[in-house]
Amino acid sequence: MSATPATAGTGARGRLTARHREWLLGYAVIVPAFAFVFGLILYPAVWGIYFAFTDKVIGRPEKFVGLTNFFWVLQWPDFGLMIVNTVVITVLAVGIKAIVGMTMALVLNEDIPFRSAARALMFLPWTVPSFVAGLIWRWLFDDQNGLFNWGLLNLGLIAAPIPWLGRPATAFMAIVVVLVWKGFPFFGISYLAGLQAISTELYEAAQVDGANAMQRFRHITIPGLQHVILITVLLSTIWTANTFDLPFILTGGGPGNATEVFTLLTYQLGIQNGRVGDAATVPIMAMPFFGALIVVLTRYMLSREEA
Amino acid sequence: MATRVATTTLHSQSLVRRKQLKKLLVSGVALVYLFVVLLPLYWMLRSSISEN
Amino acid sequence: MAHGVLARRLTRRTILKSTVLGAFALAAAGCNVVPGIGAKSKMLVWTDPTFAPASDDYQTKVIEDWAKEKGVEIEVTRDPVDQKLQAAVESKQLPDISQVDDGRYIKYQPSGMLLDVSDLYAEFGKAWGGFYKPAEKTVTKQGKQFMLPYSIDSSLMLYRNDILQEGGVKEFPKTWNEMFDTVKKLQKPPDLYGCGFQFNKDGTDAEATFGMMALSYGATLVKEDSKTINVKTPEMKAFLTELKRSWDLGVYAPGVTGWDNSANNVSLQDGKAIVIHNPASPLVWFRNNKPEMLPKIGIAGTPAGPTGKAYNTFYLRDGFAIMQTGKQANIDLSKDLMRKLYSKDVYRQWIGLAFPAPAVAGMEDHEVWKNPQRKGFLDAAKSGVLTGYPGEPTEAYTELGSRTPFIQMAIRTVIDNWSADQAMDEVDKIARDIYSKYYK
Repeated sequence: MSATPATAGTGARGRLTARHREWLLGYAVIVPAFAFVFGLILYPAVWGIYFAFTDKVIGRPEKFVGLTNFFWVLQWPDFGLMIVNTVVITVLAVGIKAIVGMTMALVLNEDIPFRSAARALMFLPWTVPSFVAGLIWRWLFDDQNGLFNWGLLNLGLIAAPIPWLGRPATAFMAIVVVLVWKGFPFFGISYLAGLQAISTELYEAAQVDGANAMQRFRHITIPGLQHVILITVLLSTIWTANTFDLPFILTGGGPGNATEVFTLLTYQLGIQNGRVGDAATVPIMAMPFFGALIVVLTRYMLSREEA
Repeated sequence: MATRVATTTLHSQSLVRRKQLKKLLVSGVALVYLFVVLLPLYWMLRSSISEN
Repeated sequence: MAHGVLARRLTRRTILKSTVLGAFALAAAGCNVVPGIGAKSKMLVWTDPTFAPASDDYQTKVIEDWAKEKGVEIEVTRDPVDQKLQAAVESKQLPDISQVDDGRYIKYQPSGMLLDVSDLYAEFGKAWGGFYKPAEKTVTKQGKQFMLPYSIDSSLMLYRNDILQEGGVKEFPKTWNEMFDTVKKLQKPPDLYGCGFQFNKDGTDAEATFGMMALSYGATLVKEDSKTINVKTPEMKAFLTELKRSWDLGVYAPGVTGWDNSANNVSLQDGKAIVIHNPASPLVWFRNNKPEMLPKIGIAGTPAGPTGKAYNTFYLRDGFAIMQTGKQANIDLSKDLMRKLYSKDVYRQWIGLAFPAPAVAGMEDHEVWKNPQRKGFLDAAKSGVLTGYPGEPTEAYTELGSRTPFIQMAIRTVIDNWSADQAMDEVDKIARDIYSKYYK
């Protein structure tokens, strides 16, 4: 009888068994990942939560102040407007991304000329760094030298440049447009992959039964993509609501506070004012919302795994 | 019999026309998408290689 | 495999083990966990990029040449220092030298991480005939200096003199009221607007513009004691009323509500605004890109208000702080580097390439002052008011300033159509809130 792994290598006292060596190696391999999660995510998060209950200012020792910071932040000028902005921008951007992404997937699923090239090109916005995307679009929207105003003026469609980023409504719309431009490929590629998994026989059978395009879309495509839609919408909601770079570059929260979102407020308090304690309270106030989304998403994904 | 053949022919013609229209619409949408996607990227490239 | 034979096979496990150990070793070296392996001691100098790249490049070269001469390894970074310095102060991972302006100085000097450089300050003051009074006042805390001022600056009215002359206006208007009325007559919207002032929190140039305008109306945020809030006054109301009037006159381009600190420069550079209020950076741009336009750009002090008084702001634009790193060798080297940067040939050459004025009084014979545009900025900076005027530049005022109170009131009045009283109430509350943390 050959030695089992549990007993192989067992010799004098203190020597590790093969299984123990296997375990050690396994732990050693996951240590970098654990260090990353702990060092870059867990540790700063715990400190952030702690700071929210202190009067921490950069370069000075902190003192515990309980809930004082939370009450102070709630009285921030236009705090309510900031929440509304965050919610509306998120809902609009995610909704439009889903629709545009779905259209992209349906189009790229058809047999069009240069389909492979089109698929690759349509994915490009997703690969552009957010900061770069923000700068390009800020340029395009610029009221003095922007491409949009130049084009519209030369076409005679407008008499004077439009201050896209200088008016509340257009500034708001500009942020949503850029969020959609940057994010729709994620939806598109996910839905395209999902579409490949739907059997063409279903469509053929439906066609034979006399179903039109809209009916096939409603009763075959949507149910077939249900899980992909849910996951992409939930993930994108979390990402979009947490967006900082695009609103920061495009409008900085302006004009006035018309496009202020909670990430910008965190930046203003923590980085511009150095008030780390106050800044930390803002994301903590948003935590229950994101926590709920993550719980829903995780439960859904786990239930699908079990199924 | 002749009517049935005529109807079938008409039906096939309209099917072909619908397919062509669909292809045109789909290609048109794809082109619009590509334009919207590529214009800012073209602008970015242009700016990165110009002196000013 | 034979027993007793110490044959080593390259198994998958061996490769994995070696990779993990190797990664640990690299990480440890990179994080200085194991000193001496991969970790090199070198000097770190943090500097900001300016609108005069030639002066930045010159300064970086001087520092690097100095380091080569001394046999010292040095890294000079030229990117915005603000956020890096915050993290550095908090984590105590300090550079050897950091560029510091008046705002950063007020913010970080209380942390105790800036070296007392009173000895160097006295040395350079003696060599250069002293520092200008506003610079001295800014850097001196309880009789000591914890930073070395290098350049000072102001914001002036930069305007298209050719357009004024064409319109029969011989000299720049003396008061704000006259100025708004004059540019209203001369502007040609949508191609040319009167004033390029930002009405946006990102356009912090306008905080100085509106601050000086308010001062000329006798309005201040705090009183002379530096502690008493003074927002809600008839003078502040008069200032906001005039600002609203200027807005209703239509002398601002529609996009000013979205402008940052470069947009007003661009508006003058592209011929889209008649007047802006700015430091001298557009002059550098014109010199490098459109030199034929330079003679057409006039400069004037900030206009006066109903008080008859006009005020120019003072910035301590560049300065150096030696940080308390605890490495005495590096501190000594840093002091030597400062001597190099303050040496006659280097300092004079830098001023020739840069756009601000020197902080030292002994450079008034420099040929750059033959240029009336640059001379104007020097004169304005020398007599400028410090942040916090009529009080002192305090931490509380700096924090209040970071909330851009004048821009806030301007935006509420012109964009949100609040009354002047409502706008003042809001900033008054903000100010009291901030000051209550500093002065119980």
